[in-house]
Amino acid sequence: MQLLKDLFRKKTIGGICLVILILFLLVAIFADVIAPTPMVDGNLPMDVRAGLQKPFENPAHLLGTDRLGMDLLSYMIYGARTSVILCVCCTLLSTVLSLVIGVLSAVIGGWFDLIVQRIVDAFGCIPQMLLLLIMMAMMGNGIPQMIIALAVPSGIAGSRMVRSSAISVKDSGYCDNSDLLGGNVLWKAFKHVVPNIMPLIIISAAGSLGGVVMMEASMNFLGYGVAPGTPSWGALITGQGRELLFTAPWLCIVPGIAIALLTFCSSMFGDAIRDLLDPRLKGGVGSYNTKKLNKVLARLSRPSEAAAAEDVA
Amino acid sequence: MKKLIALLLALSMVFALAACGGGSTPAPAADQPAADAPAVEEAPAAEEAPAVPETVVHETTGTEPQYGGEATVYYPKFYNYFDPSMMDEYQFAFWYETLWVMDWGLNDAETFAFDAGSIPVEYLAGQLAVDRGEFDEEAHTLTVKLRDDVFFQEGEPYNGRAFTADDVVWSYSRLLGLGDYAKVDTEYDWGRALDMLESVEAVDDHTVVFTFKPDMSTTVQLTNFMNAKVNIAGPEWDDCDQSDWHNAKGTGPYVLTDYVVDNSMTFTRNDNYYGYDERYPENKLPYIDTIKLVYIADSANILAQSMSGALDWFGENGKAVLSGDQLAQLSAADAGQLYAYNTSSPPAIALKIPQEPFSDIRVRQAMQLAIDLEAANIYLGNDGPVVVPGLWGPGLSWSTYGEWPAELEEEFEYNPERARELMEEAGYPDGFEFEVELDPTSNLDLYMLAASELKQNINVTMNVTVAAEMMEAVQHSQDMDDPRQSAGFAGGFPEYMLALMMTGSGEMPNSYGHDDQEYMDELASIGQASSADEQTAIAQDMDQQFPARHWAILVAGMQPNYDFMSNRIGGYTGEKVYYKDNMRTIWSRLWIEE
Repeated sequence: MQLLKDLFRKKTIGGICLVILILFLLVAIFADVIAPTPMVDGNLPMDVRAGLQKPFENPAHLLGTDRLGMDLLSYMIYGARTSVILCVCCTLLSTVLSLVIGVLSAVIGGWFDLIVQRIVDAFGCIPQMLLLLIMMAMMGNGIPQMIIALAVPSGIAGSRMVRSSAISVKDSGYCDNSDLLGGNVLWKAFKHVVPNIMPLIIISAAGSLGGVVMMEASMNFLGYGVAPGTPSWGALITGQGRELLFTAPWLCIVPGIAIALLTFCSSMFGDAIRDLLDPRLKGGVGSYNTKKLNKVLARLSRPSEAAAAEDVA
Repeated sequence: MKKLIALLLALSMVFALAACGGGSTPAPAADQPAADAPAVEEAPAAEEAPAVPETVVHETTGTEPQYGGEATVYYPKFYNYFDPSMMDEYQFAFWYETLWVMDWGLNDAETFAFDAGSIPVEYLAGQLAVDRGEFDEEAHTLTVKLRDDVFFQEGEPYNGRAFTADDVVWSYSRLLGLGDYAKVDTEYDWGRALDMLESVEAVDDHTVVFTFKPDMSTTVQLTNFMNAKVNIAGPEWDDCDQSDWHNAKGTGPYVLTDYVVDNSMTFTRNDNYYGYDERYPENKLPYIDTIKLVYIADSANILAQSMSGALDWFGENGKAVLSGDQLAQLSAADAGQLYAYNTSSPPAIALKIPQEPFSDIRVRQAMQLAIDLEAANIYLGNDGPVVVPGLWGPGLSWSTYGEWPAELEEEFEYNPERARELMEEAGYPDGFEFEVELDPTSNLDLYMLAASELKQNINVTMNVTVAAEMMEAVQHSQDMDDPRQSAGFAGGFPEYMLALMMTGSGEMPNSYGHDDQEYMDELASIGQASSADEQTAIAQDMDQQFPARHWAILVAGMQPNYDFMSNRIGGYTGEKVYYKDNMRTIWSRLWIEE
């Protein structure tokens, strides 16, 4: 709760971004209620004869329609569901993966750490996009497949950071005491190490939210996106949006704005959380606490105080 | 400051969105298609029976012929493979030649003129052969006189030597393993296409005799033989590095001088080419110095390059290069000429008929009635009438398009009520579920539209998936035990496809997923007809048998194909460049306008 208070008090933009992210989440959850044209049997109704209506032209289709006559606002609302599901699931899965691999690798150490880290290094050598394409080609298109394809490589890559944080914690006194009291590896890892590196995990997870949306759009562009018929902002841009860039630009602009907004908010929220939770940045120049910085600068610029400071020295 | 920038950004986004609402693109009215089709063909009046666009005889573009210049041509797929045994691909058409070629000067109707009284190859003209050759009285042998002024291109492996009859013997024999020649390992099933050929012999340097198996000298088989486009090369090919594109040489008008894998091919004029322009008999071919085939990844880029003049030609190659909306943009830009040909088969859901519930024709009829083909036309930006072809392409001599009985016409008119009745009669009042696997080039939206209508009208759930690769989709579609149905094309075939249809492999009776022997027998009887009238009568009956059987469910009517030719190109008279062997003959007769 204190974190939330700090977020809105000290990092206002981050707080606003959180509100927007929550709005996206609510839109995704209540899409069936909010959408002006709800899905029927998993599909948005199509009316080709009412296709390519422009935004604000017809009150029934505020954001216009696509070439198949689907209501763009409804499409965007259901598309938010796809994006949010992807964001949340990918981030959770990759976080859990990196946590398990990184922490166990650090706590167990020795040959286990050596082998695991070499595997992680090997994964790091493969270009991420190539890895994604191979995985999607093997598994086929669809949301679950995309979650796995996006989360597994990023989880493995992220484990390096978790491992280095865990190493700095595992040799502390309370971890040694846990050993003396007979705590096993898992106890030590999840009772002592994980809670102490949790802020770092949260920062990393928050920061990666936006990247998932961008990656989903890229995957759609390459033809390895969600299953056909699933509303997706990325699929809209790379499908009809790209094809009708000149005749129906709103099919690109509307989902483009949504993706940009979601990515921007995720990124700003992640930055804000980092500033609040990372002790190295707390109140420092790297944070957005410009008021405090200005105060310090103002104080230093006052001649009397500067002279007094010199006298003291 | 940050807040100000954020505010400005937000405002600019809102303005950009609002600007979309006030754009210059006209809004489609309820009874009007969403986008205009390019104004290349006049649409017939709505109350008349849908007419097939007549072939437009275009004036030759440009002024006087000129030599030199460079043309850039869109090319969808390069084969890193140069063996002459490869059948019928555009890239080979520039350096290899065949004995016969489609007569580029004929128009649509004449191109496929089928004369049953003689040898049915009126649409072919000699290329390396002087003419179509002479059959003996029983049509067991074909004697072909070859041109005596043909030379191979300079450089290894042929070093500009003269072309002889031995090259023809080598080129045909290696495909089948005839005589002393070992059968070449090739991707194309030549055994199927040239099954009727018994031997090929050189009588002298410029005469070859083809001998056919006695029981296979039918009209249809001979048509098949002459349509099998065998690239002619020479025995030197056996001894050179066949993976090296520098050795890819033939007798054609252009020499391959640069190849960037999967990206581009550059052809330079062959100065020793024997051809002359029939329109300007004193002019040696080809005119253009350099032709560059380039791959362009997406349609928006093709459109942009065509509009800017960077691309001189694109054409149909089995799938639409640009959508209807994009063609309309290109047409409005006045960057060149768009030529429309209403010849492509309509996209369809190809069904495996032995599988339930598709074995019941009522189900298939119901599925067809539940799909609004007019809506698909609108989606495709085609404001013309819905053209549903029979077996043969409308406008061809065997087509009965426009003369169908009313009940057959009605089977392709949107009628959800009747569709529901048929589903109930067939025992599927609650619908069913099935899967269609598209190949990556299929128009996904079109199938999604059909899926939506099937669900809405007859509660049939069509799950659409897209195969990662074309070959994967092809394999699944040919496996009759695979529950997935596939995307395909239905009807509207040119007549020369007949022979290929009738010589299907043993595993698949033909390419439509059915096992209808009665139909196949009737199709075969076209080749055994004793008179042209009898042949035409059978062919016209088959034309209606095909749509009546509903082996495939159309998701759209027949759509026009397009050739785009930029304003830089002279000498073009609107021929179908996209017929693969026409690439060579037509491009060698075009020139660049100064």
